[in-house]
Amino acid sequence: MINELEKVLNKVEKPARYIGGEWNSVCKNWNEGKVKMVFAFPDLYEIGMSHLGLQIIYKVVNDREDALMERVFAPWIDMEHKMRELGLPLFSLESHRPVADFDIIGFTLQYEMSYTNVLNMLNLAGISLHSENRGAGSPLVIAGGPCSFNPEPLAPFIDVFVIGEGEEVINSVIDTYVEKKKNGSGKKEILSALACIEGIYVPSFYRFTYSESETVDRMDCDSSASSEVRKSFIRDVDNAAFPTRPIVPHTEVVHDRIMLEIMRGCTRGCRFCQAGMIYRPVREKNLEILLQQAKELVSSTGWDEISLTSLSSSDYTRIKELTSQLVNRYESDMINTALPSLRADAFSVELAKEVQKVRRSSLTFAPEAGTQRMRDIINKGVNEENLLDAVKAAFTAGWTSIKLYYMIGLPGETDNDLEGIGILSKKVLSEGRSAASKKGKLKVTSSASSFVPKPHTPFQWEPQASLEELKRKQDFLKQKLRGKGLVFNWHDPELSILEGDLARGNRKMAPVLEKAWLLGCRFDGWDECFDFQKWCQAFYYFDMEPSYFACRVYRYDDILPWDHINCGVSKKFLASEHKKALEGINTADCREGKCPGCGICRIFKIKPYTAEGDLHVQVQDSL
Amino acid sequence: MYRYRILYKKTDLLRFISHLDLLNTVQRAARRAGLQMVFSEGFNPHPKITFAAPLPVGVEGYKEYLEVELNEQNIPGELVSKLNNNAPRGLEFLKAKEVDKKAGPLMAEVGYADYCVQTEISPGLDSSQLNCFLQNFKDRDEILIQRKTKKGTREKNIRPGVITLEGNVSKQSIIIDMQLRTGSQENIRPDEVINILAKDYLPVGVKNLKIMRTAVYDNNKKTLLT
Repeated sequence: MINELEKVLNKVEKPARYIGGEWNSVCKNWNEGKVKMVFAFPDLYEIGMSHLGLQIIYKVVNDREDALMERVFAPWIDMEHKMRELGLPLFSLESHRPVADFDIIGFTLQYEMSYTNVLNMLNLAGISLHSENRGAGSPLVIAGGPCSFNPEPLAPFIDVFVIGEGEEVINSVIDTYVEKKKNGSGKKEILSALACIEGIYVPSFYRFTYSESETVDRMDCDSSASSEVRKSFIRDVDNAAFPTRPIVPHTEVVHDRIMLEIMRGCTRGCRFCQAGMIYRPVREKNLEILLQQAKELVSSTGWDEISLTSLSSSDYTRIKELTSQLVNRYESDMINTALPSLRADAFSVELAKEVQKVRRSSLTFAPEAGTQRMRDIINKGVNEENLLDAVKAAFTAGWTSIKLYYMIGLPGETDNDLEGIGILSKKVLSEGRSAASKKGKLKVTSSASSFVPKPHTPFQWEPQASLEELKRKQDFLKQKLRGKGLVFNWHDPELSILEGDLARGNRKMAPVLEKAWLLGCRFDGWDECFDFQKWCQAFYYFDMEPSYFACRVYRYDDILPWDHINCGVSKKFLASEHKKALEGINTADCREGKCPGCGICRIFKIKPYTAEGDLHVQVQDSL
Repeated sequence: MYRYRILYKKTDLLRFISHLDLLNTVQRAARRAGLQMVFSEGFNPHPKITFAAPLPVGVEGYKEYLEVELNEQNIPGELVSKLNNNAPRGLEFLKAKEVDKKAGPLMAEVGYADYCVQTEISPGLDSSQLNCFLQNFKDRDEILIQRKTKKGTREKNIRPGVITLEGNVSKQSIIIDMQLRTGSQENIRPDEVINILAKDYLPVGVKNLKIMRTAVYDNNKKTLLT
């Protein structure tokens, strides 16, 4: 294989994507008795190697004596072409073995628009796409990650879904697999045993009848499966496995730095945000543990930047102490500390000032919407004053360029709210004109992505804005964001619509997806590959409109295609949040002591905790 | 401040990483090894590591040179083993020597390099025929190629930069050894020579080449680290 591979590598762009052998990568002896797993990331190496989840699972599996884990990423178009030409099967990076030789293939589903790559990778590996056609000789195909909270569009292709945080449950999966293999069990028995584990969903054990409105009319499940699958999650983040010897890529990847995860979950409760719902409750890591992990990471990787990652890093209770300790310890070694997700307020700018001794040119904030009315609808607890204070502080401190993230197509949005985006961006610019020292370099970049309603959020019932409407809104904004110092970026609305179809679709999306792949769709998230016409063709083939699921309205009393997946946040709470959204009423952050009643603490008998101990909240009954 | 010149090799699959990737890889290995590197001044300080001559992606290098500036004095042998303990597979440090910190840039010393090109066997071609073809190439005074530059394509005579050119046909492959002008004044790439050979002189394929740089010399054809 190596020899064949070397010939190919001379002819493709960025061959370093495919060579493996990176520092801290693990290539174990290939012998009987070990469970052989391959972590499959359905996007480019540069994207996959920026994903902390991969590094965590890789460590957990390779720490076991009875298992090994290697990696594979989606080959870029040129590489796929060469591989197909030469009959080279999809291979792992560590031992360069065919992926089909492994016992278990584990995909991570980070983004709906990588689903065609999942199918393409199975095909390149020479593995049947459909679970029902894969017998004892085929690897078990499992999938996890945030998108598995609505697993249905991929149901026919995946044997086992891991719902929720995977670093503990993966051990139960391997234990069960080892035990069943020892007994000589077949695939069906293995699946039945796996289905008993909390957080495991075996889609072939469930059959659905859908109504005309594509909601669930009837669900039948095998006796070995439970009618509801609860997510798995980590109770104790301080003692959870964390990779202090992560793989250091040879070639530049998107996040080419130490990723020190400081907490799980987020208490803000933005109503559009799936991560804010499915990763509850908030769990902050202990400060001393973080400092120890940072020390090990610095010496084991040689990276020159420590990024404090989480959903909202300035919310970490002891963030000031953490950043100042890291800066004190590592500044003299020329190791930077970075805060990637900043809240839009002056406190966050203060933090950024402290860590970024070397001023980078730009700072990013996410007001998400242009008017207070709209920010109340989405429960974004930031007001205009917060944002303007933040940018004023940033301009005064020497930053010359501000990036602002907005969403368009949000529920209840009017042209007045879009107008507000233009007005707010201009206000930010004028703060710069009065505060910044280098006025000539001032730049305010506004990016507008199209809102996609996601399962397990208060907006899960909402239809997505239509393609025509999204285009009109973009054109409207283009007019409003003209002028010196203003830059406007937007996303492909066609892509957002398909993301909406795959996000809120049921099993009827599976054949459409397969058809789109057959027509040649892959790397849909990449401009140079995305082909909307092919997707349309796939929908039309099944007599469906390309926005069949995206623009669908669901009702509160409908059984939604993903209702058998329980993320811990109750449907009642989501519905109440939806109603409050329509009335423009905010919901308090549970960090402030008032429990909003989302239900997570009751169902899992847990309390949110910070680096200073348990949060003092009186847990309310779920609404 | 102490300046070290280090001999290393970049082989196997690691030959597929770019020059920029190699720079990062060496920096990270040095950090893991706990070396106290000297950093440049300015807004974006970076460690002072310089290379003799960049290797094209896909080309193995067996006698490559770099220099690093350190704040602490190191015993050369220990420096080499510290780096080797922290280097990924395919990158190996062979020898180090402290050099005068006031010496000129390493890159400016480079003058020549030896390359060995392996290609697939072509039926019916033996060593004497091969060398006959190579002689035809050498007999010319001018061999023009088109080079892409930032300002468009430019014509370049590569013949004066090709110092030696010898071939050998073995059972498994054709091997062509060449010495080429290398460095900032004059630089000929081995693939430029091979492409001309394949086009005008030789019945060999250029699809599955393996190229090795076996040595890098100064302007007097002397080794850069004694």
